[in-house]
Amino acid sequence: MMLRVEHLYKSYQAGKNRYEVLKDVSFEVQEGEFVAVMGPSGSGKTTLLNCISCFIPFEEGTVRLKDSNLAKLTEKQIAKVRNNKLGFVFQDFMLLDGLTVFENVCVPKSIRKEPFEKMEKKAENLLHMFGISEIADKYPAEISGGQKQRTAVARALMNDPLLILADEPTGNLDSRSSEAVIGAFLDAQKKLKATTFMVTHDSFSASYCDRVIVMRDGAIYTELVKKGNRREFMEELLTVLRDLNGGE
Amino acid sequence: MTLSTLWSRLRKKNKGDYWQFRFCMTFAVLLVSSLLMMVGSPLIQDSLPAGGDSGKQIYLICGVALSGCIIFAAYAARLFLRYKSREIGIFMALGAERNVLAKALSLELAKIIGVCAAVGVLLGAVIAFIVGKLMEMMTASVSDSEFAFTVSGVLASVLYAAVLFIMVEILAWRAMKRTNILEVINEQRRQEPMKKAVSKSYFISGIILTAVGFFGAVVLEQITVYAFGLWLGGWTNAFYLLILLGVYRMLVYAVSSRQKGRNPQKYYNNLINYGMIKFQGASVVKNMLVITLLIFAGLYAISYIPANMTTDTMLEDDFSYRYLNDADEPSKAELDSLADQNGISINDYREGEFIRVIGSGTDRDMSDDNKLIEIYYDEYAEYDCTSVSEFEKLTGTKLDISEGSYYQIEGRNAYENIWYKFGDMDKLYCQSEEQFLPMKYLGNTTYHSLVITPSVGMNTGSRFVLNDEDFSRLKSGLSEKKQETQVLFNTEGNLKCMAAFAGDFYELFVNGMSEDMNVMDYYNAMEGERKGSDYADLEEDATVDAKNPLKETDWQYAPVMEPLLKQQRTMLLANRLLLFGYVFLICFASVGIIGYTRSQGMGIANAQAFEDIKKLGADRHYRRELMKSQIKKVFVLPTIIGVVLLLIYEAMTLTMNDKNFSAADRKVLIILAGAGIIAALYQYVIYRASLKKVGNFLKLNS
Repeated sequence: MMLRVEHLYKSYQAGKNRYEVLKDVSFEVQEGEFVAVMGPSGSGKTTLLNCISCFIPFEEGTVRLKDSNLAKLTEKQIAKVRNNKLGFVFQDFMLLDGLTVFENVCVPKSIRKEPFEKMEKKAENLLHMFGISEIADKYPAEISGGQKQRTAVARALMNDPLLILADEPTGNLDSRSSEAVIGAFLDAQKKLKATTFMVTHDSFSASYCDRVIVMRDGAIYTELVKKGNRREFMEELLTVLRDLNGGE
Repeated sequence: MTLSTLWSRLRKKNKGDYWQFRFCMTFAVLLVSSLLMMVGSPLIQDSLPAGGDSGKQIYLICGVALSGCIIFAAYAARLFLRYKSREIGIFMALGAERNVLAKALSLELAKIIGVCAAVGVLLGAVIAFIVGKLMEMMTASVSDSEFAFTVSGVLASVLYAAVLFIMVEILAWRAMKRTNILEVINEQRRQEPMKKAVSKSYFISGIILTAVGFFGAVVLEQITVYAFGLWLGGWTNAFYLLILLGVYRMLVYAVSSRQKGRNPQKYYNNLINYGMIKFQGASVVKNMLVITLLIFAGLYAISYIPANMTTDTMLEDDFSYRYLNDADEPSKAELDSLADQNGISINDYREGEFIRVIGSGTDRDMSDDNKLIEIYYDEYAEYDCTSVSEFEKLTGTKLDISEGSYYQIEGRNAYENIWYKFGDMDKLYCQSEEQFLPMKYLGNTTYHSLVITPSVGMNTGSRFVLNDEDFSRLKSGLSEKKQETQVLFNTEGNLKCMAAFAGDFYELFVNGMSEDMNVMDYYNAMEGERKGSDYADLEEDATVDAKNPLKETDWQYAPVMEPLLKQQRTMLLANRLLLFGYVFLICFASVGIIGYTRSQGMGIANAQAFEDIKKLGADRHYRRELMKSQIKKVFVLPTIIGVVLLLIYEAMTLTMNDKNFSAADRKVLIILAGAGIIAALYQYVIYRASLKKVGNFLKLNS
């Protein structure tokens, strides 16, 4: 087991009103698994991801990454976990504009001040793996959205994380670029045995996953496991989502 | 709810930004108006000779101070407009008309600056009054001039406030002119990347350009003049631009260079730092350049102070004067009585004989094509000559001078330059024998009180000691107006009484001068004869005010009065200390505010990047170190470059002045290096304050 979330509760206070965003959410993600979370806006997907990443605190429950309970860690320890054990891919890429593609990929190891020889070799391998070696010396402003996101995926894998957390990684991309980015996640899963937990709105992207957790009103509505081929799984997903939206 | 209500609510919410802007504007007006009111007051104006160098220096320095204040006010205004930009952009996005918003902003700025200007001018007047009264007390013993507000001083202050107002309104108008709403909203995060990646050779070229600039601006003309007698003209000042370009290149390299080089590990460890600074690079470099120049200007302003403090007159006697024997000057008895009236006594009174004799010399001038022209004339000038015996009587120095030779009377630190050489005179005209007597230069003899001050004892102001026989031959047949009496004496008593005595004596002396004594410093009768009507400029009467001995004169026979000179120096030093110290203060206030606001700008622009790397696992310590290193860029390098440039420039000018780097020059440099250290400490304090402010903004303070 790579990630275990148990009885997670999260609420927001707005004036006198309290809004429960996550209500008793529990699930597991196995090593090497590619899992997506879907659901309508306001269902709590992104809050769930932010709680797992420890970007925001939660009231109750535990988030265990392998053996460590993330809620119990200090700020410094959390930073270490984020750098060493988690890899992040965000909707808006979050690349540093002043660094080239190659340098952006090096950032996680640069934060760790790792020996440069290993860093360079690893970065080269990842760029090669995701087909972005040719743009290694280009700046983010000079490349396409798909290339930016593949750079972000490569960056996320730089420290061999236990888990990649992806927040709407294809949200800002066209279908061709989305396919390339999902391809990158699949490559990471296949070649590096990477475990990925992805929040998405896009059923096409989610159809490539091994499992999809569907959320509604802060709780898990259902879980779908891919059994057949991708097209069948996508049909299944669309059906569930239609039911979720009242058959529309 | 109207727009103005919303506007006022936002103002309450952003109190800090408003107060920062108000402080900067008030401070700029306060500094400049106090300076202008002081400079405009009779206290300073009375001590400045019309067209004199000290006056020019002070106005130049005022110009630097004014520019410094304008620069920092502009930075503060830009930062404020960046804060306001987001609000304005959101209003625009929601459909508010640009014109309405522009008017509201303009009105708000007008109100703020109106109040700041009024408070600034008022506080400036209070400060000017306090400082002026202090100066008045310091110079009360020798000067009746008082501090007073003048119309010109107050008007100039108001005018300056008006210039600030117009500048801020123009900046606001430019900010409102943009049409891209997203650009307006994201103004706070606007990036200004460096366009170029530079290599080490770019940096080296910067050093070379700076060195060439210094060489061209300070040394080159000295070489061409001394080696080839060729002046290069004012265009050599263009070399200063090379220094500017060189410094710019060094700063660009410091900001944008990030090659792996020999230490790739360091390169990768600082990767994020390089990346962040690069995208603010263009504006960072501009800021660094302005800070460097202001540090240079501030230190340059106070460089006059150590130079004045280290100047020692080395005069042997309190009073030294000479007069032609047809003048009606006070006798020893009259002087004693005058001294009695003022409560002081006269000691070591000595009189010696000099004669005015025509002699040879070399006229040196620059031709139309900037080349040195040397023309030897048999009858070059009328020189002051004395005999060995008279010289011994006056100075106690016994010289051995054979017939046909002479010594030149000089100061200890006298040096030759391209215009003036020792021993140019090689014959003197003997009127009684109607022939020239050949003369051989033996060397210099030192007696500062006998050196004619404006000419530093050179050229037409040269004074010679001759053999007694030669002196007698030359004196024979000379009329009274070609014979001179040199008087030296010391005084005893308190300084104020001495100054009063000097004032009374000066009035008597000026009123008693003969017609031939009423000449300007560099008047040369022989040159007048040679040039005829072209010489009219120097044939005017001497500039002298019998009632005010403290005023600078243009008079060849001006007496040298040490007690008054001390007072003049003290007064001058007090004036300059305050004025140049003020400019130093203004430049460094600008440096501080630019550094502080730039740091905040950096924090605002990189806030998202700091958030991103937090998500990538950079802990607080890492991010704080990153922030420190970003902010350091604005402070460390400009301070080092500014101080080093000033020390190099001063060392070069002090050396080139007399082709010698003396102990006094060393002292000046040490004092300036001390000022440089104080400047660095000041920068450190501003750096710490900036760290705190930006740390709060980025939530990185523990």
